[in-house]
Amino acid sequence: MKTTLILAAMLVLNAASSFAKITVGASLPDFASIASYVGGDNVEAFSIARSTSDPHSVEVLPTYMVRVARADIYLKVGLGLDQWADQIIEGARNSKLKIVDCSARVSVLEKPTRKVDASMGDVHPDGNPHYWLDPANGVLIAETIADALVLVDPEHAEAYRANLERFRSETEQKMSSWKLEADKIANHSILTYHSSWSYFARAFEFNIAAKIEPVPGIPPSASHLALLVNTIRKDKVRVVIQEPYFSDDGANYLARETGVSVTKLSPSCADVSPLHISRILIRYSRHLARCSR
Amino acid sequence: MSFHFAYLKFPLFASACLFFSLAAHAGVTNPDISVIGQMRTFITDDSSDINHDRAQMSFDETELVFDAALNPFARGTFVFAVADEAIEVEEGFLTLNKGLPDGFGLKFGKYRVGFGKLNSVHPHAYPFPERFNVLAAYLPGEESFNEVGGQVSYRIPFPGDVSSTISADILQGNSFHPDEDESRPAVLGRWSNFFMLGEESSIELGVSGTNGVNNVAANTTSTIMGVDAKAKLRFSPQRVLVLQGEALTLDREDATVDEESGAVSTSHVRPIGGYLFADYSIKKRYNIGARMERYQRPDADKAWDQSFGVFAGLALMEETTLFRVNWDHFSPDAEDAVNTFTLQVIFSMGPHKPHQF
Ligand SMILES: [Zn+2]
Repeated sequence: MKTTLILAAMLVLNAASSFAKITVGASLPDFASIASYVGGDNVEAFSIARSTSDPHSVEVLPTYMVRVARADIYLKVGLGLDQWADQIIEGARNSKLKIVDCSARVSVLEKPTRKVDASMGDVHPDGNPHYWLDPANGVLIAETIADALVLVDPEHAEAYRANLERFRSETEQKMSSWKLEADKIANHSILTYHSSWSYFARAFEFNIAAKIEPVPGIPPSASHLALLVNTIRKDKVRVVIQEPYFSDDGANYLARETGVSVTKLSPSCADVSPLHISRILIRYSRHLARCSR
Repeated sequence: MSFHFAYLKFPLFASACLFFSLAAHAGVTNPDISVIGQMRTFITDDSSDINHDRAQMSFDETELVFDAALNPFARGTFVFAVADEAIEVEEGFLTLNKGLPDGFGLKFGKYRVGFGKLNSVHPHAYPFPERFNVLAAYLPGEESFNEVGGQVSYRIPFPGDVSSTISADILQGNSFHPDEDESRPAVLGRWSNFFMLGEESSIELGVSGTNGVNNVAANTTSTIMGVDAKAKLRFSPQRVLVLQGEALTLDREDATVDEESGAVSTSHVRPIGGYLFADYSIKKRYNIGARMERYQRPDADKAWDQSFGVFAGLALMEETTLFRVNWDHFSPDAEDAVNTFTLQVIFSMGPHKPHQF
């Protein structure tokens, strides 16, 4: 009787442990979303930052440490973007946590060719870290995540690899239709506040005519705004993409002066569904139509 | 065996090997270095100040911070205060957060003690130039409650998002009895609880207590208890209001020696006091706020002192360059009030870590 009870208890415990999900924490929601896709039913993913928050400066809150304390894997954006995550990871006091730098496979844009210092503003010293808005990079991120999941949970390796392949083929399929959507748009000259859209621009052949911030982290001066007015006229820019967490004073001034349409678009999203890129393109087209010039 | 022999025979080779292995090692442990300079211009009508009613300038101590992971388990931090005459180790401590049972942390060295919410923070990170008088009056230590000691902390694994941490410190205790040759240890405990209010705002509530010997010969002690609260209310990504306050009580045993008989008698002083401040920041660059405090002096009369102040700041790029103005109105009981107007410039180079809540 006793032995059967113990056996039953052991069975239950065993079953419970094999049903326990792998918990993945990520700095940004985009990465959590890809982890959910690749992890499927075996993974529970959460993000520290929200899609509307500035990924450069996330406040280190004890609550985040509590969440990461329960995680098995942490996904960093890397390239110096989410240095704040180091303090969260440190404070999580989680010895089993596997830390993954998702930039590992990405070929980085805008790598500084000379020594950078603070006179150039809050420049990204390792190159542009906003790489996730190129769907091709999304696949590379998924590969890195799949590797980590296989390492931490080899039991479900097959499922992770299958999900990765599904993610890859779905993205590749979608890519051609996104490119068609993008090609239909008449004007590809844009102004952005920060360099958040470089990878997106490269993927869909948009031309970032200028940035509203003269150097990273510094709001525009009157003289820089005057330069931007010229650029808008010369390059026939009709839409300004403004990250919602930066001050829109400059963008609004440009709208008044030149009639460009300002759209607040976050470079992050909580659900990297195939719809996300479409949504951006549709928003863009709408604003293009709205432009008063 | 022959390998060891070779080492002995060729000390140059051996030292070269050692040098290269050290050099390679140094590469991975290069610490983050920050330097923080603080200059201030102020004018005060305090008649006890020889330069009262004249603008004065001072270059406050420069802070030199070294910080690095020592290995996968431990982190080391050094804070040097550099003034005209000397370099002082303000802090030098080791923190261990990994390799221990989950939720546990250890800290050893010399550090600003975690009593309440303000003491452990360096003054350049306050939105005003100086700490509150009530902290100076009740907490041991000259510029801050800073001690040599060790700390064990544990985060209680409550379900949900609450972060609840208890910590206990054993301290050298010398700041309780700074002028004595003999030393008696002191103890400190803190319990802090952090909750989110919705998705963007948060609140932290804490209790701290410390006890140490203030007179070694008489074995009299001082006990300070405090409660603190900090709320950070975010109205939009650009607008944040911080409300913070602490209430403290001091229970100090004073020893009096009877000149004739040599008998020692003890008496208690039990003053209470606290502070409150509000700091509203807009677009990360500008902030304005107000501060006030009210406390009983830690003597037999327990007269009430109070102060009120307003402050504003402009940050060019986070804490790399900060300009601040502050006006303080200090009204001690039954004495003339003192007004001080301060202009402060803080500049810092090096990596800027996000501040912890
Ligand atoms: Zn950036």
